[in-house]
Amino acid sequence: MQIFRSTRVASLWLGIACAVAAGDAHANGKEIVLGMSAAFSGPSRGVGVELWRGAQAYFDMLNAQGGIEGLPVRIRILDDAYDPERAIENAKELLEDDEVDALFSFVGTPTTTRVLPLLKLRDMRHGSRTLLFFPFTGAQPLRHEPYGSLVFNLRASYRDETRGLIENFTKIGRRRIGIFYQADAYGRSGWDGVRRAAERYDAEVVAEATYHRGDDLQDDFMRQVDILRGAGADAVISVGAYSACAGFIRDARDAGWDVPIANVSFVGSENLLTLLVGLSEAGVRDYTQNLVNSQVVPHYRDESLEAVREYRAAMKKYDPRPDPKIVDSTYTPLAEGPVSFEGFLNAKLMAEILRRADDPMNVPDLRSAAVSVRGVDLGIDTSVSYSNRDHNGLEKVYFTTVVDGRFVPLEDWSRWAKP
Amino acid sequence: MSGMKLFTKTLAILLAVFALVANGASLLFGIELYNSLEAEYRSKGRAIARSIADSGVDLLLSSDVETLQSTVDKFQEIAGVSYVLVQSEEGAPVAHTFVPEVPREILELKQGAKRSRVDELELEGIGSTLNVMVPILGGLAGHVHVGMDASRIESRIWAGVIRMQVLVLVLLVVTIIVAVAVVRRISRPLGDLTEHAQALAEAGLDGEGVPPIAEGTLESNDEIGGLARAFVHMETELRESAGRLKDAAATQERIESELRIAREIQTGILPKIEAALGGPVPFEIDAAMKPAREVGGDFYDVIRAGPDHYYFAIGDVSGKGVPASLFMAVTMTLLRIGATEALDPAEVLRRVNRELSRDNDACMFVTLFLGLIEARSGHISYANGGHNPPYVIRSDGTLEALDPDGVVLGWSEDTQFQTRELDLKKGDGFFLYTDGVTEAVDPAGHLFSDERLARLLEELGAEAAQDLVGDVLKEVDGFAADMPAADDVTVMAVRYSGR
Repeated sequence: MQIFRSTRVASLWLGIACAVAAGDAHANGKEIVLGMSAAFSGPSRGVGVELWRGAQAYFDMLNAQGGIEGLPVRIRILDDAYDPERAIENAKELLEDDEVDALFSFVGTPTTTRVLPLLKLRDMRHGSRTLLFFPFTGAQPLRHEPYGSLVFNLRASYRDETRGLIENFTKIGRRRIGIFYQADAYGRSGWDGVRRAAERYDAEVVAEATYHRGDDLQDDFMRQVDILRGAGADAVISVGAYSACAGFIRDARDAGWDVPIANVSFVGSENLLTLLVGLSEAGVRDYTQNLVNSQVVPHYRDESLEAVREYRAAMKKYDPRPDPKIVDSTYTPLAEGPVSFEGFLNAKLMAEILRRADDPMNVPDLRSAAVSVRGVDLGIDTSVSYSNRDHNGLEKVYFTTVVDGRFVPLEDWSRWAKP
Repeated sequence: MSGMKLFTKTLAILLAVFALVANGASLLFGIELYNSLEAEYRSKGRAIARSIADSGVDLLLSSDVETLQSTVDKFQEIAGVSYVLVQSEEGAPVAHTFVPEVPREILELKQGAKRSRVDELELEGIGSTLNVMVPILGGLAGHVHVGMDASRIESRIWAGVIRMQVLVLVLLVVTIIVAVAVVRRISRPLGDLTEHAQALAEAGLDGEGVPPIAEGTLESNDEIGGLARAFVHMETELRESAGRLKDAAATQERIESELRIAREIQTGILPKIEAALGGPVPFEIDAAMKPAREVGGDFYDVIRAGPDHYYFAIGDVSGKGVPASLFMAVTMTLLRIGATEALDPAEVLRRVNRELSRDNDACMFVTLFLGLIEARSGHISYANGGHNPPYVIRSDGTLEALDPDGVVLGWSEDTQFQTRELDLKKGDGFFLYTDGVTEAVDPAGHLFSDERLARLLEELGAEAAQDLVGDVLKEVDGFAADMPAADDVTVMAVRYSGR
């Protein structure tokens, strides 16, 4: 019913049918289109779907209020299944689509880092600087030259996240760090962050173990557990996707290894939790213990924050569901979570930039509008600023842990203090 | 069908050789393929490693490990590449594609500034690998390792070898089909020929139902055609030869039958001694003839010449067999005609000789000894026509050989003979023989000889005439053993028991 209602509201406001060709709308200057390639299938589909849901909820709300000076904002989504080759194909398609005004909220490091050269190439050949706003990855190449000028980041980097985790682990005496990571650019980015932080906080990376991108809960992670445990790690930083990370946590706990395991934001903590709760209910063990998740947005239930209130209201009201042709129907969307909250914040900042632009369909104008963002508070008690040189919005990292089957803000790390 | 068997054997040997050659070729092909693939993999690995090393310099210096990892991941997607590893100058992994960890064997490889180094490694979970290592900036910025999947080489070789074997198998099947067809063609006429020969062997030359050899086979101008024609020719010859043999056998049988009759006639001509004597006489006389063939040229006779006179004779016609027997019959007939009254034996021989010599175109001769015994007195008058001189065996055991005398009958009409005299006393014996006795040959080639006969007669001297004849013949038989008799053997013995 909610889907039906949201569509009807949108069409009422626009006065046009959903089926009207988008190109015509654009040609008439009647629609702003954002291109998004993300995992809408495969083991990481939860991240793509949730990120889109948060953003779409905001744009539904925005469009309901008249959009950007009368122009509605639409996200054109393409599924890359977290596969770099498909992400490149999707990016090409979106870049060649004249109606797409900007790329928005691409998901994943191996995928997005492969798309960057494509943006650079178009920039160099055609001078058409299509910008990528707020990709869902904390990897470094998006944050400096040669690609940094084409990307605007909102979220903190993996370096920020891993630094925060290592800093807190060393504070409680856990200096023997094991890394479990995805064997690709994303895992490598987290791995690099951990090693840099370890050096800084006098911790030691005692072991590392990888897994294949695409592995999921069905796979066996005992060897990785053995490698890290055998090296005597007293804390594990896990840089992966939620299906594999859940499998790793299961195998570690089944082996009787109860060290704290920390996951970074990309894991999509609610998706991870859903799997672990499912495992706990089916098995004899509570797999949600001794988990830490770093987040790049504040807790999505912290009602003291204006953005959280908006987000929860919009999610409840619009509850966007992606086209079943793109997302397979076996996925059950989450009502709320950090990923959709991040998508919501991405959309909110995007709207702010669009509003500031003289012509939101003109790339140089978009760029000027973006770098004019200074001290803007999205309603999360932290301000965002960009400049010509600095395209990184937030640096703050938030930590959560599971209590009674829910992620809650983590204030006190001392429960894991090394005896 | 033995022809088919022969071809099957040949085919089997050919197939075995073919299989050997095919497998040998496969082996060689596999080795060649392995070498070239390995070389290709090495150079491919080297090229990949070098290109990563070249692009890795910038990436390492810009400290962007994500991009380095992306690059490494891209190269790992190349077929045959099982892993890529970039090491820092201290040897620590900077980016790699291993799951779950970098194998120790690779980290333990000694780093160097050499352009490239290839090691064959057996890695757990990865398998046999060609590890290609190249330095980045001469090793100052680290090293790149590229693992080329050697098991892929093996699987490609197997695929190649299997494809080749399949090809070989197809060729083999085609060859077999062609070979069998050819063998059938060649062996069918051979089979026909064999069947014909076997049927011939069972049914015989005159047998019914022997399948004829096909026209095509006979007309074919190859070796088999030649063989078939030779076979048919041989068969015809055999048939003719067998026919001739049969005729000859019939002739032989007829001759043998005639000879049998002739023998009976000859035996019939020889006298029944007792009947010839015509009553009791004061002497014993006995004789026996053993012809060398069915009929012989030897003979003996006893003729009553008067109330107190009896002729006894022994003779030997030159030559043997039928001519000799005919001449013998003539001689005996003439003798019987001439010896009807107690004439002087020389006169009898003269008459017989005259008749024999007249018109003797066949040039046959006869030796003849003729004695006339006066029963009352034991006086003997005799004449010898070239015959072996008889022995007189005195009752005290002394042996007296008569002197050789006279000329053979049939030689000349004018031949003259001498009549000589001797007296037998009571118990004295008289022994006559033909040369068949002294010229009998033993298996070693020795003659029986006059000496042996003389010794024998001295031993047997006192015996009755009948025993003497039997014992001498037995002795001669024993001497000759299994040797075929060269000549007729005849002996005659007289024992005077009067006065």
